[in-house]
Amino acid sequence: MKRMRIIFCILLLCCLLSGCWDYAPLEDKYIVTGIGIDISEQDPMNMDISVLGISNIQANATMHGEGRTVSDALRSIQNRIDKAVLISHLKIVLISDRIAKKGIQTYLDILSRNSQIRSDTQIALVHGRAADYFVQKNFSIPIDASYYSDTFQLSETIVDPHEFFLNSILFRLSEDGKGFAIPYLRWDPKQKLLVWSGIGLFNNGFFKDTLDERETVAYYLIKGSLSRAMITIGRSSPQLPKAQAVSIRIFSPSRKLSWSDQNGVKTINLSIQLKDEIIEASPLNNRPITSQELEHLQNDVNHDLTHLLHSVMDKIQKTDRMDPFGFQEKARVQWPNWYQGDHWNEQFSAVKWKFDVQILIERFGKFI
Amino acid sequence: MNRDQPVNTLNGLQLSSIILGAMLGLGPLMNVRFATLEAGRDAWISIILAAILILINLWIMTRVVMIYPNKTIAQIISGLMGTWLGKIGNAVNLVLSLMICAITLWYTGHIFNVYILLFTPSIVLSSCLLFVSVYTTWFDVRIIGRVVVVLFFVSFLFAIFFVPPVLQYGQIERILPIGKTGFSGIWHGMLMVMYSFAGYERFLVFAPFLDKFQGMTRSVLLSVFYVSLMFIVGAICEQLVYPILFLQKLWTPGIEYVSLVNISILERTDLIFILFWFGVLFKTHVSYFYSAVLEMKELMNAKSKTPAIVVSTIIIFATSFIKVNNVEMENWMFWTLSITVGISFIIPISIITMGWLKRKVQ
Repeated sequence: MKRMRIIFCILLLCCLLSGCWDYAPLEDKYIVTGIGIDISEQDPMNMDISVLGISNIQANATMHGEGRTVSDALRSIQNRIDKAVLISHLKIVLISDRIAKKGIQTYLDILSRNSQIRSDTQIALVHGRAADYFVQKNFSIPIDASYYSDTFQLSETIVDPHEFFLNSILFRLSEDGKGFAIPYLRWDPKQKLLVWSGIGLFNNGFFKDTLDERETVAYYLIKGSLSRAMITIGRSSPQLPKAQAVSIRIFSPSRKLSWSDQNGVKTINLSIQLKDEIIEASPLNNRPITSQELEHLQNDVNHDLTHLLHSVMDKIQKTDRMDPFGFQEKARVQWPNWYQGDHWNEQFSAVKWKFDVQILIERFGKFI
Repeated sequence: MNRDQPVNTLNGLQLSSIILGAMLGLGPLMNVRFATLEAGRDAWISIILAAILILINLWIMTRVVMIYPNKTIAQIISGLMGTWLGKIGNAVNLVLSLMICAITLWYTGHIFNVYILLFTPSIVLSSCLLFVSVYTTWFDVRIIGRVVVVLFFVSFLFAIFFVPPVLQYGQIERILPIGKTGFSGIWHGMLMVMYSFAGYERFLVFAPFLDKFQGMTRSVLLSVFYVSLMFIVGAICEQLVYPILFLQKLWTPGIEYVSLVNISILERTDLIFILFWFGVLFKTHVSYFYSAVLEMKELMNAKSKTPAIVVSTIIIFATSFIKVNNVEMENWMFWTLSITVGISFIIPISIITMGWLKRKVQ
């Protein structure tokens, strides 16, 4: 019996010897870190998938594949190289604005079904062809997928990164309203740098509109996922006779949403309280800002920000007629008799908004 | 050496761990989805109701064990129902145990194939699990108890994975307003989700191996209460995070949920979770395999477990060659576990009633 036990123990240890079975050396892998989705230039019915990846031959090798679907295109890439395409390290998916106008739900669907792809893969919209972004060169050569995904973290406006994750967008697509926003990137050929030029608004998976950088700050303030941003009023230029400018850095604000229904008029009150720091205020004339000037600055920034919030909300409600914020779940609970799931976008455009912004500039701050 | 001697006994913690391990099998990977299909946003209430019913049934089972101490469930059934009816009852139990063993094997192979080991045939993965189960069963219940206790403590650590996604994506509105589905919806949801508690009925199989019955009821009920609490917390977390339509379409919401955990020090949390799940599936498999062996031994009237182990292993291994797709596999699992839970309600109540009638007649 003792011998049997020893034999069993030895056989059990064999289960751990997995090294030689389906051994696949790293050199034989093509590790995909970025995917770009475009419409094919040769055949408009096909799509063009470009992948940015790492192989033992080249640090950042770009490959192209065409096909009727994403799977087809990826298969054609696989057939072209003698390495196994490994997609589990995918960091970013760039979607061209041209293809986004025709809907992105299908492409996100195939990505979500692949068990190798992580749910925290970032999705971004790009101006022009997505394939061009993987061949750009700048001072931080070579450009890899991290360069694109880190853009959101290194920019002045920092939002909750979960906003741009694949799973967050899929969640929004399975809710009433189906609106969402993803970053809109643009390559500046003169300066050779990547610019986060705002966000692209999507309704039901279709690219509808864009918000610029300032509007993006307002959008995330309303949504409540802003971590840090900078608001600038006026212009500081030596050419102007009296330069008036103020830049303040705002951090994640304390915000409160209150829902009211007065005579059938649905109103959402959003009160935002910010305690902020001045980054730049001119002219200082080599003297400290007086408390009176500070109060003026506060009022100006308050007014400007409230105006910005109203203009962004007007644009989204009246022009785009959609709800990219995801307020439908709250509305369903707050106004259960009024809420109609399938018509939430039309209902949202009839909701009245009131903003109460209170900014308190506490310190002069330090630049980081 | 006769392995059925009292030397092979379990203490309270080991018995609790076995029941807990058997319960934490395939159910929690997708119970929320089944409950949500019927009960909608009130799915978590259905799970609470199911947990209460299971706890009541388990309490009845502890009464059965107190009335018939040191007797296996197969022996109790044979004693009460007579030779032939008893054999039929035990055969039904045996078939269900073998089926759950086979389904656990299919699922283990399939999940590992999909998520981690793409190129390894699922038969290899299934065989690994079967091999470990056979090995552990060979050395009898005490070894099973010891192995499972270790996994019991590990399972505590994984409760922490349910917290980060709720903080990042959770919305309280997703489960509000409460009770809107109505009693009928909640009741149907409860029936749908009842299968995920399958495993607690293994108590009747393993209880005769207890070294002392003192405090048994309390420790066993507490362990099932712990699992029920995990199920309920898990269900609420998943409902807070996922939109309802999304939740209803997920294949394995449990694994999908853990894949939302983004901790920088852990590269792929979902893969670590699946490796942990291998242990959980082993716990489920080994407890059902041991039950099948005991029932087989009873049917074969064998003195030793060896022929029963050999026959059971051959049958279960043979089922691994059956090609089933995701949908078929899920249907098999759903019906088998549902029938098991259904029978688990019938058996203890029947035993108590028949015992009472027998005493009355005498």
